[in-house]
Amino acid sequence: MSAPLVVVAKDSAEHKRWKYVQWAYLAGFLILTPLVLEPFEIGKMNRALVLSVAILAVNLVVGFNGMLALGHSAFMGIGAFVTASMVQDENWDYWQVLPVVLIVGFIMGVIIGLPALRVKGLYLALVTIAQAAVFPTLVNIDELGIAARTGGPNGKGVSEEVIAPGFLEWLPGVVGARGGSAYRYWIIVLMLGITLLVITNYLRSRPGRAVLAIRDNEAGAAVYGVNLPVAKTMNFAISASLGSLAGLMWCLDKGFVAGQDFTFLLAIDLIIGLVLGGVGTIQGSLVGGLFVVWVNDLTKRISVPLGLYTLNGDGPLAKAIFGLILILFTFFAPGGIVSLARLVQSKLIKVVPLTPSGQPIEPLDSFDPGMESTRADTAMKISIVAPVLLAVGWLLMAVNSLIVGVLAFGLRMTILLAPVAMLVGSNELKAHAAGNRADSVKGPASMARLLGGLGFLFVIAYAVQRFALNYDF
Amino acid sequence: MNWNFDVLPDFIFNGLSLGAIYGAVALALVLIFKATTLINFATGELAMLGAFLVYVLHMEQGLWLWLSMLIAMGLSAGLGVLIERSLTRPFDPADHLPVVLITLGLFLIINAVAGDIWNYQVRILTNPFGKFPDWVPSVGGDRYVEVLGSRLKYQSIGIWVTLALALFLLGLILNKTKAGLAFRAVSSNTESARLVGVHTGRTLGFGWAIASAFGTLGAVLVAPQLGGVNPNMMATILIYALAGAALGGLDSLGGAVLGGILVGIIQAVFVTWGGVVVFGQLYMSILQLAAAFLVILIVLLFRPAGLFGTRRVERV
Repeated sequence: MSAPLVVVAKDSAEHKRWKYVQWAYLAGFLILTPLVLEPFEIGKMNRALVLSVAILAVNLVVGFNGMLALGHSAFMGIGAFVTASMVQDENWDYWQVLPVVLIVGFIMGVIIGLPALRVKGLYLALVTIAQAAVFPTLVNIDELGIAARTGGPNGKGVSEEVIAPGFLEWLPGVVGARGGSAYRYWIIVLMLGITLLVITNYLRSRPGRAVLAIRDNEAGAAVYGVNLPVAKTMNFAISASLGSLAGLMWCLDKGFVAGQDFTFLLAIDLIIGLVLGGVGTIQGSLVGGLFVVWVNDLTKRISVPLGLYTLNGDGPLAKAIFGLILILFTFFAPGGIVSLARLVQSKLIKVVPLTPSGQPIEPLDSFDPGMESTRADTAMKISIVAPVLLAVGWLLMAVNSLIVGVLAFGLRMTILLAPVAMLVGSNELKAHAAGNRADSVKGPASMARLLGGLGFLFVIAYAVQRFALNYDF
Repeated sequence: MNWNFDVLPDFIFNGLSLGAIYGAVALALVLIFKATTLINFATGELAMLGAFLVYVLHMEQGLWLWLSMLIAMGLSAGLGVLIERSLTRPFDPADHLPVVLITLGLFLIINAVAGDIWNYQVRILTNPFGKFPDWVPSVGGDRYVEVLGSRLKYQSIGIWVTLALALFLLGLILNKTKAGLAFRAVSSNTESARLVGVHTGRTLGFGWAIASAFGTLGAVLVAPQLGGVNPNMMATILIYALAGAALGGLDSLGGAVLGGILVGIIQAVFVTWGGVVVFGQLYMSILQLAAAFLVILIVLLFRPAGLFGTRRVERV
């Protein structure tokens, strides 16, 4: 099935229908997370989303501007310590600290970026790596009241609890046992959403496009009138500011900050998340944060006995696995998970862009396989395989093993393909009614439509059931 | 303020011997940078692995220390060649991101594997200059000479002599052998070198090999000052070495050594001694790492090519 299963014109009614499916999945994922997961798992999700913001900050420099910034852990640390100090010592609210943190991060970014970005090449990497290594030691300085502010080697706790106010209790999951972490989850999701909005718009703005132009061809950008040092430094400072925001979110989420949390290893975690997700894509940052936390969690549970020696993931070797992943992705999937996902998506759906007059640039008929269409067969296969894999995954859940657990999860997720089968089936039936398909298409297509529809209903029913279970209707 | 000049030579000597070690590690960075225009962030970890090889050969197998150092340097040179051939050569060096990612991955892997094998406890490694033959004069049991009223330890002298010998050997290799000539050709212009028939790949491997050997030498020499070997021993030393390399110029071999020594002196004199003078206490030593960071920033701000590096001219 090299040809895509569905071909739609951009912004047509059918394209919109596909978009609705995607948005529905995203919304379902967002709403069910605080309802279904245990509180400590919500905490992990929070951590992942905070890392996503930090990875987005790294991405802004590495992915979109082509410079190597390896030390954003320091900016996160600055944001986190400023937040902890202001909230704990000065009794500020978190939202009051927010502008302060953004400005402090911006200034730090200018200070560090200005020397490094005047020169080309690896110098920024050199500076930022030193910055990441230096930051944890700076926290412990007794002079100037720094250690008193940061708590020195002991770290600083924030005693103010983040609890949902009365008018926000309708948020999913906020009431009850998971209240605290669920409310923090919603704050983090809100901040992440605003960040994504701002950054996508920034990248489409004049300075944002200048930044992309510098990445693609520095000399060319300069010829077109981009002030290279200013554009690079501003971008780096915005990225640093965003990194500090991630630090604020970290402090909000954990309620405790310490110098040991913001070492060079965190900086490398961010880089790994960036590469895992996909360098130079907004979605990559999101996926990267989730995967860093997820892989970290998985490796901790690895324990393989090899004769006298036990390969134990819950020790130093966890980092080795991360290093291995980094090298493997650099070699075999430099585009990260996002590029792999796009590969899969390109097999499923092709969106034909429009000309300015609103016509598809290629007539949709040219993609139509006509009487020899095998789309119905493929859709039928998907509609059968997905529920079968779902059932197999469910059975496998009983086996208490790490690898099988991951496998079972993946198998169960295949049911999310059900609406694809349903929509393709109904498309093929329409084409058959229009006399554009052989009669043999009818059986598989209606079967795909039926099974796919059932699967889709199942997904919805599952979501509703988890929702209802939580509210105890 | 108490200008205690009596102890200043102590700090200078200390800074010089630390700086010589930073110079060795900076040299490892610069050798690889000259050959492949990449900064090998795993330099420190490779050196640490070399020091652990010495630990295994000398402390566990009971080989003679200097022999085990030579063997370890050879082995880490081999490892360097292997890494160059398998991990970095497939990538275009002009595209920095992949190679930096590879070296970061190596950093994590080597550190974690060493941590898994040898734990993170400090293990004592014999000081190469801990014992001297009896004909070396000693003052009250301690082996040092009096210079400017301060005690210059034989250990410092030993480090200088060893590194000077190693540098002399490196100079001979680079200037008198065919491989050295090839290395200089490749680092000056890879394309032209390839056109006149130099095996660039082999030469890059050669650069990695010498660099890894030098890193190992530095790690073994610095181990006594840290109390022994442990998997995190090179983390801060790498930062000092980076500062030294940036100060001397990323593409200057002599500059790397001098830069490393300068960073050592800055660390010892300005930060430690200055801290004693200004605050009367030693706690400013926390700022040593920050001073290295400041050195990098200031060098980039005022003289991006470093003291001895060549200013790059971009042609478009």
